[in-house]
Parts: sequence; structure tokens; C-alpha cells
Amino acid sequence: MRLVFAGICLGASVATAYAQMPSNYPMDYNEIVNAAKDEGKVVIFTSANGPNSKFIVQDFEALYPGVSIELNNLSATEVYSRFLSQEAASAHEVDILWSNAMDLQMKLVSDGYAMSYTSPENAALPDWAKYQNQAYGTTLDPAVLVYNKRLIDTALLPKTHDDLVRTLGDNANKLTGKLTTYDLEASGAGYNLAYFESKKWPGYWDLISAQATAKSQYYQAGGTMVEKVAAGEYALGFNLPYPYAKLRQRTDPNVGIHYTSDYVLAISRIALIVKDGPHPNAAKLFLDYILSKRGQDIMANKADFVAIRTDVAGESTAAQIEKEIGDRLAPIPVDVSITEGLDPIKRRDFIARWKRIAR
Amino acid sequence: MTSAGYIRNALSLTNRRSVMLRLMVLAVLAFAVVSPVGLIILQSFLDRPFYQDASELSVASYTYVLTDPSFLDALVSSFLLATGMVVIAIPMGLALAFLMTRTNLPGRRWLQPLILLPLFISPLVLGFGYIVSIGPVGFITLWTKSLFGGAPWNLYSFPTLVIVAGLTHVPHAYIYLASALSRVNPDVEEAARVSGGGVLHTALTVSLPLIRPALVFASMLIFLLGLEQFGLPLMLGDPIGISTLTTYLYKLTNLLGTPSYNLMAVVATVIIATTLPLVFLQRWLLRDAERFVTLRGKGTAQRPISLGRYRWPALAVILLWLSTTVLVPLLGIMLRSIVTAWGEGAAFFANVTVDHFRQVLTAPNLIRGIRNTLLVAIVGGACSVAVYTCVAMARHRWRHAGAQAIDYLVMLPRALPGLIAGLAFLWLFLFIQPLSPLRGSMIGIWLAYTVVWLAYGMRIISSALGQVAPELEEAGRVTGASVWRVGRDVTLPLIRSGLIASWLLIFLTFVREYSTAVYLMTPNTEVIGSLLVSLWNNGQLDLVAALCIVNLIMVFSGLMIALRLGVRLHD
Repeated sequence: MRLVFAGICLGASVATAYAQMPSNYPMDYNEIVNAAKDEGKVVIFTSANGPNSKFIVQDFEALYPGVSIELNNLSATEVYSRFLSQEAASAHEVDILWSNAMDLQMKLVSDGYAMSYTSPENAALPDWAKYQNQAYGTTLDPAVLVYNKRLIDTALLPKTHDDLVRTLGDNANKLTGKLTTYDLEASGAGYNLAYFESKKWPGYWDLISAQATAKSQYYQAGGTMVEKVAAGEYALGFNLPYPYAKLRQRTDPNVGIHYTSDYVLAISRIALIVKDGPHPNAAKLFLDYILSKRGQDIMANKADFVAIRTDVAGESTAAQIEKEIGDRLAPIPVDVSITEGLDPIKRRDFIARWKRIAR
Repeated sequence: MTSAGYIRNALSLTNRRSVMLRLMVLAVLAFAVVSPVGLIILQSFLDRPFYQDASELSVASYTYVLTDPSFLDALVSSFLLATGMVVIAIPMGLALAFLMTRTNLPGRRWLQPLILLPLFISPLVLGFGYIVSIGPVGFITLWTKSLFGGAPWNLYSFPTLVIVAGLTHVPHAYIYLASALSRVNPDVEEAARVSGGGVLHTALTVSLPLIRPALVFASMLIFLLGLEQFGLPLMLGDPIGISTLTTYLYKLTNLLGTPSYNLMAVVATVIIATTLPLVFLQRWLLRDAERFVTLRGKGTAQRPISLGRYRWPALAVILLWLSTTVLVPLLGIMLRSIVTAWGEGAAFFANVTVDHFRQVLTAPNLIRGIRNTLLVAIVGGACSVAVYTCVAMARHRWRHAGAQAIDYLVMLPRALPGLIAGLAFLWLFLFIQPLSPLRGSMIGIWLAYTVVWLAYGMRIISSALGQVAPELEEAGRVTGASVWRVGRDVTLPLIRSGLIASWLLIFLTFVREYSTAVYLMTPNTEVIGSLLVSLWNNGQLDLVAALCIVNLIMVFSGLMIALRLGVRLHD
């Protein structure tokens, strides 16, 4: 009797799952769903914010009852190093690595740790946001100028990056000690942005000199800097992550977000499925979910990420940001070429040069 | 040698079983301590993470670190910080201990728990508190500015860092010094005073020399705590580009992009290498600790020394110190935890909210963090005290090279910054198969905490043991009891209050620990301290402030219960 009951339940849940499958999903997707339910859970290492990512967990678990998410919130570097040390110990316990340290994620891909899997949502992603069916960009977080509305006259906000260099020079008195940005020695994310920016914009090193002239101060964590700008310890924060600023703006309207008109760098949280993870089917399910319209909608409107899909509406979406600033977004591509900055010699020289000029 | 000494030696020779037990304790201790430390040292001589097949022996990491100007700056800063802390904390702790244990200072009863408050508060919390209260746009700074047109302090400077660190470590010195002072037989002091010595003269020439061991230990521990400072330099030193050994080490996580464990291990090894000589120095200074035995078979009631007209000024100075180290940062955190916006030009009352607390109490991971923190601090703390007591008893009155081995082993983890120790334990749990179930469990985190705080716990318990006069135990031995029977029926009951006090101190240490679990944290083993680190990095300062308050409430409740039960932190 119990067996029959269980059978009915199983049949019912398969039917629900089946009914929910969008038309672009393959006919045999149910097999993945069922296999995922047998696996029971998916283990994720992520650098995503804790309390806000709970919405993703809740929605996913509601969509696929029987598949739970074990979300490990780590620092971006920890996602990389803890995974590698587990691999070295042959402890295959993690299925998905989901991190905004794009360079480290792509290094794992180029070192062969990622599983090849073509997500049915593949077509909805821009080309720069995917790499060989192994790495998928899931968000689009612009690096923005965050400012304190009480302390900065909007007329003073730079129009372009060159303008920022001039503003720091012209208004040395007004902005002295008032600008904060990443400490490249301490922050992998800050370095990744800086390295990419130095390639893109010839004025990069002039900016660093101008920062030094204006006695700018450097921090390791983006969130800390947003808080300090909000409180007025600094008036302006350069290249800070949009999600942190947006989150702070919600409780403190005094926090302003400004885009330069020449270009706006953006990074993406890359998700990859681990090649020999213990729950490969549940991992596929999760990857497809965060790339799906439903998942992206939750991410943008509940979890304070910026949706990368252009067909998702809401304030924190790529579509909305593009509406505001046109096509000036310069996303760092999901590509192995971005691991160049990890080359020890290049990195050492770059940071040494930065230190010489900035401090 | 005294005749009692001959009897003692003869008895211990016959009691081979007790030696076996002692050796077993030594072996377990050696494994728990040497494996993480050894792994760190091994790693420092490899050119890449030890678990990579391609790693090779090399001193390249040493060359890199030791020739890096930033490292040398950090080394100098760390030594200045540690020295400054000793210079500030030891005299103040000593004065405080003297006032509290020997004089008729008003309000000693309620001052006692208050004085220890800075011990309970994690440096991370304090650093955050100082930023929001006396930082450039802190609550107090802005009030002062609006009243007087300016504020005469600058939180982000090296002298401020040293002063803040020194002031917040006064209780660490106080704890050792007060308990040593309270064990000095007042008869000795009374004799000095009867012979015409003044209060101060007696204190300096009689009491002070008698507590020399405690002074040495306290100074050494403050110095080591100084070298290990992480939260305060990170928050107060980083904005102006000052690194200490630990913040330099923390930066190494990112400096080369991929984690450079070899370089981190070199820094940790350097820290070990600087602390080992201190251990030798300590042992050399205490080569005749027997002379300092002050708790004999009989005791006398103590009569407090009258401070006369200095009673109230003395209290005022203590209260001033307390406000600087406790009130100022706590006030900042309390205010920050109930507002949505703060700083220059932010209206206070318009922004008041209790939403941050609601958020903390509805986030499953934060709830688990609170539960786990209580678990590891209360139950884990008791287990740790049991472990420390086993080790201390094994060491107790053991004339054997093994006793010296225990002394050195106990000091070793002191040299490891919690962050690195946590990482070493993660590796052990990963690569030693029988230990793998410990990974991702609270027992694993407890084990790491126990080893990291071994020196501290052992000090508290050994200082209680060291004060028990040998003749009390010899009386037991002479009547035919075994070493372990004497331990159980004579020594342990004698130090019972010391053990309960140790449990409290360990509870207060574990409850605020933040760096050790950073690398060991998994979705079911969150602890408040490590959650604070990750929330701080994510910029969720609303939650940081609220969680700090939750942590403080836990600590205060624990303390209240202890006081209610009549547990005295010092005899």
C-alpha cells in the first residue's frame, strides 16, 4: 500500500515537473529531473551574499521538491582554493562553483575541472557570457561610481574616466582623502577589474597618479567601501559593485550610483558544473534554473543580483541598465583569455607598479 | 633536596602506570599540536600548495617574503604594536589588579565583571564599534564636532591603533595579575608594613616580586596577542596603508591571484620562530618557580589597604578607562544597529528601525550561527577545560623531560594566527583519512578552537595548579594513594573554583573567536565570529551591527548566570 502511495507521489511530482518544462527544453529533460531527485541535493560553493541568496534557494526547492540546495557562502578566493584542496584529497563533494572571481573561475575551466553541458537556456545568453558549454555568466554587475549625495555636488561627478582624472586634479582640495577604491594588493576582484581596465583605457595609470595626489584610500572589500561612502567617511567610491550599492541605496537614499558615459565595466558571476561532482543531474538542474527566466527574475528582483538575461524586467536587470546608459557596458568576457592577469610575473609587476604610484 | 623530595621521587619511580598515562597524554597532545604546525612549516619550504603533485622543496618563498619591503614594514609594525600593548596593558592591569584585590576601592563588587568586559568583545566588534563611534564620521565624532566645532582625535593612525589595542588588553593582564596577587599571603605584606613600609613601597618591594611569574606570563601573552592582532589593524590600519604580520598574511591570499599558501606559511613560520625564543626566555625566568608558591596549607583572611582620599579618584580613572574601551565602541554599535543610515548629515531619529534584528532572526544561516556559537562555547568550552585539565594534570609535578615537552607543545599553537591554524586543520581533515568525518562538523571546529587556545587555557589551569603546595599532595601520596588518586581527590578539588573560572574564560574566548573558523565554516557549522567576517566583506553592515548585539547579549547573559551562581572569577 505504501509502495503504491509512493508511486503515486512520484508520478505526480514527475507530472508537475513535466508540466513546468518550457518548450525549449529537450523531451528527455525529465530524466535529468528524476535523476536529480534521486541524488536529492546539489552542493554549491558560492561567493554570493548569504541572506539574499536564500530567495534563490527557496524558489528552486519549491520548483523541484526533493532536490535541496546546500549553499556554502565563501569568499571568492576560498571558492577556488577550497575546491582545489578537496580535489587534491579526492573528496568530491561539490557540484557547482558560482563565483564573481571571473579569472579564477576561468582558470579552473582551462585546467579542466568543468563539465561540458549545454544548457537549454544557452540561447538566451549573450555570446560573451558563455565559454564552450563549460562556464556561464549568470549576472551582470556594473562597476559603478558610488557617491554620497550630501557630500558631492552632482555637477562634480565625472562624465568620463578622463574627466575623473581631471576632477581629482582640479578639485584636489574638495576630494582630498574623499575617494576610495580597491586595494589591488588585497582584493582579487579589484585587481581583476584594474587589469582589464588598464588594457581597455590608456589613461588608467594617470588615474592612479591622480588618486595618489588626492590621497585616496584603498580597501579590500567592496561592501565596506559602499558603507563608508554612505556614512560620509568618503564622498566617492570608484569601481564598486552595483549590487552592494543598490542594496545600500534601498535603506539609505543618500547613496547615489553614477555611470560614466565613455564606458562602464561590468563583471559576471560565473557558474560552472564540477566535472566529477557527486550530484551531476541536480547540478544541471540548478544551472538551468539560474539561467532560466524564472531564476533570473528571482535573482534580479529578490536577491539583489543583476539579471544577465535581457528578457527579464525589473530595476536590477541588464535590460534596465542598458536603457539607462545605452550600450556603454563593457563586460569582462567569460573567456580563458582573462586568466592572463593571473600570470605571476605580470601580476607582480602590475601590483608593484600600482603600489609605487598609488601609495 | 628535602626528604619530602626523596619520597616524592621514590614514589614516582614505582608508579610506572602513571608515567604511561602521562606519556599517552603527551602523545595525543603532540599529534594535535605538531601536525598542524608541522604542516605549516613543511608548506613554507614548498614552492606551491603541498597537495599539488608538482610541489618541490624550495626556499624561494622565504626569499620572496624576507626581501619584500612590505613584509619588513609589517614586521616592524607588529613589533611596535605588541611592545606598545605590553607597555600600556601591563602597568594598567597591575594597578587595576592591586586596586581590586588589595584596597578598599569603592564598588569592587560590581566593577569586577565590568572590568573584564573588553575580554569578551571580539577585536572585530571593537574595531567596528570604534569606526562607527569615533571614526571620521562616527556618532561621537559628529556630536563633538557640532558642539565644539572639531574633534581632536584621528582614529586612523598608528598611535591610536596602539592605544586602542593596549587599552582593550588591560583585562588580559589583569586576569593573571589579580589572581596571582590574591594568592600572595597577606601576612608577608603585613610584615613589611608593620616594619614601617608604606603601601606603595610594600607593593613594589614585596607583592610585585612575589607575582613575578604572573607578570612574565602576562607580558608574554600580551606581546603574543599583539603579534596576533588581526581585527583591529585590519579595520584601523588598512585605510592608511599600515600592515601588520597578520594583515600582510591576509593580503597574501590575493597578492598572487591564486592563494599563495607557501608564502602564507612562511609568514606563519616567521611568527612561530619569533615566539619560540620567548618561550625559552619564559622558562629561563621561571627556572625556580617553586620559590613563588604562595598558597600553603593554611590561609589568612585578607584585610584591604585603605586608599584614603584617593579612593574616588582611583575609581574615576577606572571608569574613564572603561568608557573608552567598552562604552564608546558599544554605544556606536548599539546606535548603528538601530538605524538604516548614519554619518555626516544623516538624521538619527528619522532612520530608526528594528528591522536589522528581524532580518537576523529570520535568516536560517544566522540562526544556526547563533546556535552553533552557543554550543561550541558552552559545551565545547567545558570539554576544552577537561582536555586542558588532563594535560595540566599530566604535566603536574612530573620530573621528566616529557614535562618540558608538554610546556613547549602547549606554547606552539600560540604562535599560529587563528586564520592559519584553521586552514591547517582543514588540510588535516582533508588529507588524513580517519579525521575526515571531522570536516564540516562542529567537533572539527571545536578541536581547532581547543588547540588554538591551548596555551591560554593551560595557563589558567596551570596557574591554579602551580599554587597548590606540594605538601598537600605529598600527604596523600605518603598515605599510599596513587598519583591519579591524589589528582582526583586532592588536587582537583583544590582547584575546583579555578576550573569553573577557566570554563567561563574559555566560554568567553570561544564565543567571540572569529578567525579560526573562517576556513572551517560550512552551511551547518557557521559561527557568529566568522559570519561577521563574511558579512563585513559583503558590506551587510546592518546585519553585522545586529549580530554583534546578539553576540554581546549572549556574553552578558552568560556572565549574569555565572554571577548568579556565585562563580567568582578570582579567589
